[in-house]
Amino acid sequence: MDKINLRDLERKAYLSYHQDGVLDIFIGFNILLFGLWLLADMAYLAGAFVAIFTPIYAQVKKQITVPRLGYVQFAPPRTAKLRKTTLLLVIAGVLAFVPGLLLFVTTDMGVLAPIHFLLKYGMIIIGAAGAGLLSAVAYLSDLSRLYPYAALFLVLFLGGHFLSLPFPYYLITLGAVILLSGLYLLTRFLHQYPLPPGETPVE
Amino acid sequence: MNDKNAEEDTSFLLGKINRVIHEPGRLMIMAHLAVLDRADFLFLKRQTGLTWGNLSAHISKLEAVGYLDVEKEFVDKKPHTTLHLTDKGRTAFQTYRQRMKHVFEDVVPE
Repeated sequence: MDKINLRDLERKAYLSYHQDGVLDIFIGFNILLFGLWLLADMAYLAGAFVAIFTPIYAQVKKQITVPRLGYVQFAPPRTAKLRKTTLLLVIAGVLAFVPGLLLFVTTDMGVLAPIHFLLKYGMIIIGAAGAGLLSAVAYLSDLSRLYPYAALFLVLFLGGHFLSLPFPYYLITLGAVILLSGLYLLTRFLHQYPLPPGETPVE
Repeated sequence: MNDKNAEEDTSFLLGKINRVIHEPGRLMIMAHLAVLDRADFLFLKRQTGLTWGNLSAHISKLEAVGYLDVEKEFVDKKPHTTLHLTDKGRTAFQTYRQRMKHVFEDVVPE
């Protein structure tokens, strides 16, 4: 007799809720947009999309995923994991902001010594940090498809250390790949889960 | 334990298995609701693969014995029905799990 593994059952339900590719589209779009804004010297706008990310994401899930897959509220262990993921992203955002600020201030003050290291190995540091962050999110959220994105992040920026292409190009490439992957997942999801005809019973 | 005692023990345990939960469709619904906080009909349908008719019938039965609660509310002015296990349902499911485990591990030989 096959076992009914309740943990697998919960994991399957959770993964089905995230197989719509919406998260991938948002991550990819955000990175792509950041790259484009850097190219246009408007990097300060990057924060704007991050700020409106959560409400838009929630609204898209509500309009696309829930009508096709149904509504679910996950149990406390899962929501605790999601809270940890959010906390990690906030900490990562703060940690990314501090070196950026340091770089800005020290450059302004003419103190070049601390930034030499960052400038020389910046691509490797960004690649490792980005890949590490994505891997941590993949681990905490159980979304294993984020690991290939983390690997791509690392490979692109390690390659960037040896190539001399402008920095935004790497972001644009990475963002475009993640965005396209998300769009593919969304198309598959829409095909797999069409809107149910009519009302559900007892409603 | 002699053969007669073992036979009696097996019959006793098998007779105590909760037949409401034991039906595969209802077992799937109970198992899903045991690991999720709450879900609606559509989500359960997608996860279990049951038809609307089967799902509705099983849910009515589970509701009738008090294992799950059907809550109707309005979300964005639209009626929305969510289901969740009651404490009685959760306890019944745990007891069912333990009993089945016991039956297959200790009573039924390999």
